[in-house]
Parts: sequence; C-alpha cells; structure tokens
Amino acid sequence: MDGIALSKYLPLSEASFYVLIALSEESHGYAVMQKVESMSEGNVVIGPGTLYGAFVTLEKQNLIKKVKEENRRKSYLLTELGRAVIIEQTQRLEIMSRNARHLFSSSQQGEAT
Amino acid sequence: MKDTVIKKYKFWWPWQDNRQELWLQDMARNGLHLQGANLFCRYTFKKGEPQETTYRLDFLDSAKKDASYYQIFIDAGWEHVVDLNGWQVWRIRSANNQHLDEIFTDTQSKIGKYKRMLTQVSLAFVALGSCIWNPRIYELLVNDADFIHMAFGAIAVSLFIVLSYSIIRIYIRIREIRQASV
Repeated sequence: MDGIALSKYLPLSEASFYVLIALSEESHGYAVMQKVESMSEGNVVIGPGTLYGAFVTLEKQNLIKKVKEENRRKSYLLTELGRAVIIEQTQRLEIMSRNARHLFSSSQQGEAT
Repeated sequence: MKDTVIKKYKFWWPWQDNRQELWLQDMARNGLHLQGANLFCRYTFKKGEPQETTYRLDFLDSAKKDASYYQIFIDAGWEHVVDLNGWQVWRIRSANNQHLDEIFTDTQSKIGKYKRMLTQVSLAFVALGSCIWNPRIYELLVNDADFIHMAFGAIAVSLFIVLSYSIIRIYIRIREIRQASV
C-alpha cells in the first residue's frame, strides 16, 4: 500500500505508535503497558483507560486484531496494515529527524551528522 | 466487629467528575472508604483507617459487556468500586505509588470519556425532545390542561432544559481539555 492510502492513519500518537510496536508480538493489556514503558525508557506511560480505548480504536481501524481471549484478558497482534502504517510513520519520523540533525552538529562539535 | 457504614448524599453534574473524585479522596483521607452508590446520589462509606487513595471516574456504559475492560485496570493495580449507571468508579491506594495514578494519559482519551457522555445525554435529549414536540402530545397537554397533564408537561420541559444545559456544559469541558493540551 502506498503512503497516500496510509496517510489517514497518520500521524500516530506517541501512545498508539508504541502500542502497535508492542503488539508485534501477541500481548494482552497489562503486558503492553509494561512493554511500552520500558521500550520508551519511561517517556511514555499509558493508563488503563487510555489503553482500553486504544485497543478499541486500533482494532476498529484494523491495525491490530484480537487473537486470544482468556481469563478476561484479550490478546492482540499487529496486522499487515498495522505494520505498513508503522513503517510509513517511521519513515516520516526519519525525514523529520534528518531535517533537525544540523541543529545538533552546529551546537555540539564533533557530533556525526 | 461489625463494620460501621456511613451514608452521605452528594449531588454532582456529569461535567464535575473531577470534583467528585477529590471529594472521595477527602473522604478516604478521613477514613471513609466508598463501598457503594446509587443513582439518587447516596454514597455509602465503610469506616476504617485514613488512607491516601486516588479515585478516578470513567464513563463507559458498555463496560459490563466487556470483562477485558475491568481486567486491564485490575492488572494495573486499580480496584473497581461501583458501576453507577455507566460511571465506573476506580481507586488505587496512593501509598504503593509505583503505579500510575491516572487512568487516562492522553488528550484524546480524556476527551473520549466526555464524548461518550455527550452521546448518552444527546440520546436522552432527542428522545425527550421528540416527545415534547410531538404535536399530538402537545395538543393533549393544551386541551386537557388538568393538573396531572400540566405537571407532566412541566417535568418534561424542565428535564429538557436540564439536558440542554448538560450538553452545553459537557461540550465546554471538552473544549477546555482540548485547549489545555495545545
């Protein structure tokens, strides 16, 4: 799928971005909360209400799918569409960060650009 | 020893949920821990040790149809106290503060709660509105203007005004949250 078709899902919020990455392996709610917190080095903490809402929305958008339901816990997995959206988002983020890189090298000497 | 149960009445509007949370937190600080509540604003508290507790209210009418909703909160350390007609009352002891004490961590989901509320109130608004503006009912009210009809009419119209006001206030709340995030 091309970038234009994926545009309607973008930009992903920081929370959705991490939730999708965390679901590259099948996980349930609390596991996702923990993974996101550790992956983002504590920058992104997701509350349970926000996570529940994210699951509902992302499932509706077909970016994740429910793969299991046991002990009142639903486990989800990233879909192909979800994967494409993450890749597109990451490419855009790379362009953004590339454009800002020169600010690093002009203020911090010796930093590789 | 039997638990001492204390009843209190406190009215609040749906857009004042933060104030209600603070009230419950104050109660817990004084050793009164919420046990139950009903729609007539009656709250029952169990008397115990004073405790720093964070209360959070979510509005999700469909929660009872999806057990996974509760499980995510419970796994994250929250305790479900009561479902009050779609209002989910959650609490967490602030003492073991490794846990996060917010249930919503971004603007979108904070607004989502008020949007669900708005949908609910709007449905009631439309239902009641279509009753009041139904010409036949209107005719009935005007022609048979006895006390019962007038009373019903007055209640319906006041309720309609309350609903309109609620819609405006919830909408303002949504706008406040959106502006605070910019």
